[in-house]
Amino acid sequence: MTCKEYQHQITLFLYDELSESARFELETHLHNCASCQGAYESEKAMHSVLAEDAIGWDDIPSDLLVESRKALADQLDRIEKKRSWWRMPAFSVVFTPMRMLESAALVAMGLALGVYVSNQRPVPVQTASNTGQDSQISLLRNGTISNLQVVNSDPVTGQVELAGEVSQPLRFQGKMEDDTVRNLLFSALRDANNPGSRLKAVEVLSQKPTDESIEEALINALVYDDDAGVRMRALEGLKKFADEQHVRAAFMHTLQNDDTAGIRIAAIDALMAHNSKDPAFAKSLEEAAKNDDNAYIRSKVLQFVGTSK
Amino acid sequence: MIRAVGLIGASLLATTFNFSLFAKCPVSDGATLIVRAPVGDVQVDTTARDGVVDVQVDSSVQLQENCNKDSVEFTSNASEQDQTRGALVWRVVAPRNINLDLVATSGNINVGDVDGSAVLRTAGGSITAGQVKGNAAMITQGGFVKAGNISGDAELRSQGGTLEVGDVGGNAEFHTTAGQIRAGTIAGSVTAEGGRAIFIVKAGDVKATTNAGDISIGDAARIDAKTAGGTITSRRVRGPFQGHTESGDIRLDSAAAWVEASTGAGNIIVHLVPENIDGDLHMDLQAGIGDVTIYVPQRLKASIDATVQRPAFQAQQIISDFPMNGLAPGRPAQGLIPNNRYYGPTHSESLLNGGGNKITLHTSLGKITIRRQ
Repeated sequence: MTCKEYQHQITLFLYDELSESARFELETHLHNCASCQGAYESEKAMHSVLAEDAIGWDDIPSDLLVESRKALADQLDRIEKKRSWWRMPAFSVVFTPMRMLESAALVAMGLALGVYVSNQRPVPVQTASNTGQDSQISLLRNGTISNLQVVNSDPVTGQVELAGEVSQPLRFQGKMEDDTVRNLLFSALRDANNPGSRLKAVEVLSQKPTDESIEEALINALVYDDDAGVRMRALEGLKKFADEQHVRAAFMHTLQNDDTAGIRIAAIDALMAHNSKDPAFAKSLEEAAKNDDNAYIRSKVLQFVGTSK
Repeated sequence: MIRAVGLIGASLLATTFNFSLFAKCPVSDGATLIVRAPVGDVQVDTTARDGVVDVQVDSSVQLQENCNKDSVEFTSNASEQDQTRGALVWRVVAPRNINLDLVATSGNINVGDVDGSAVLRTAGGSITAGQVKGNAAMITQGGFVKAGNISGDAELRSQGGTLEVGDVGGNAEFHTTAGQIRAGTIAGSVTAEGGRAIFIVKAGDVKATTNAGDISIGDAARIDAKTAGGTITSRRVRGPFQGHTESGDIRLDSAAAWVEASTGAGNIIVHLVPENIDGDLHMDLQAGIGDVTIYVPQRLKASIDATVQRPAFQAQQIISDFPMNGLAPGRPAQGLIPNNRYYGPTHSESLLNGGGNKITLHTSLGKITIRRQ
């Protein structure tokens, strides 16, 4: 292992996250390497400062680490699934694998630090006295409680603190401009276990995709969703904007990467219908589709290229 | 010299204009029109009256025809590169009392009404067809498929587009990876695999599966439906019903025979309207999170077994128009709750008319309602 690799392990070492063997190996190396020893001392000093500031962090929610790891794991899953996404020229500046990893890590760390430093709870603790009995009963009657844990229990006073997740039936009415409506729909789009929910969210969002955040959500669905039906519906919702730069880039990505020929065909049809026959664009289209195994796609591109000269 | 000038002139002419090439074959009733179009769209107008098939392609591609008594075939040696001058269209005019066998390697297919069968295939374009009196197979790797009524069997496939067909006189098979399926009345059985919603007005036996979206079948002899996320509904099922959704409701407005249905999250509502009260009318309804509601006739012989796995706080869990053994007494709306109500599942049994058809109703969280029809 190189010094650089050892130095990467120092942070983990300070947080006691190294395995026994790795820890032993690092300690041995630190004894013999002045450079790494210096790095260790420096990191340790930083660690001490952070530890001093950590006074008052006792009430860190127990599920924070789980949530952060889940967020990171979700990002990594997506990166793994769509490895080819950042190869797309229009996005390559932003989405390199390393940057995605860094971003994911930063998101997780930011989340953690944000909570720690501001000492905010992700879920405010409700007490029996500060919530009306009716609303509590309604919540418990209609809701589903899962992952219930006893956070604190005092047998003397009989006081307990419970934590868990409550899901309950939802009916909400509002306009698409309403942030709550949008957030509910965006949330449905992230429901990995329910493609039907995602499809319906895409259908509703497609009704009014003029807003940037909605457009972004649809692009996300087009590029990342596992379900072909959802991707196709997202594409249908976006196709009238196929001349806009980022939508066009997403369609080009679909053209190059989507496994379903029908979706690639819909992408090429939309790109050709909504973009002028500019030779530069024709060239990039030709490049994107020249190796496609579908004769229709190759043929359409040839027509576009031929008539754009 | 004159010859050289002539040649240059001819080649200039050739590069300036697209020649329309024609081909023509006499055709008899019931013959098969075969078109193999390596490039371009194929359009077949079936209004010709003179027993002749005309083909015209707006390009310099060379047409080849092969005219026989039972079949006429048109093809070309054109390559993909021939399309750099723009879209090519094969315009075919033929009488309607023929069979069609068309392949457009890279374009759309559009045909009128035909009295014979229709086999229409393309690598990517859409397919539109009028009425087909024989069997029909319409297959594309990409675009949509739209057809009028098909008197024989129907097979519609697309990797991406939506499939729409009117009534089908025989059996039907629909497959699309990312599109919807919409069909009218199908006399025979149906196998439908969709990427999104499936709507069928009426059919014989139906086997419908979709990855995402609702399944709605108006009337069917028998239904076997599965969706990974969406509701399953039927106005009337004349025979057995099997249905599963990962998330969504299942609703049967009129079920004539046995019913097996499950949903991960959603409600199940079944109205049992038996065609034969002495037939197999068992029910197995399982909801993860959601209510289960059944309506059964007064004279049904049944052994009902109802379980709410995780009873909701203070809610009535099993509501029945029939006397149920073990049914919990009415709950106070507020106040002290008997402890033993929350330790385990609520479970009730009942024998209707001395027992018989096994009716198993289960929800992990929700309520069960048993109503008299």
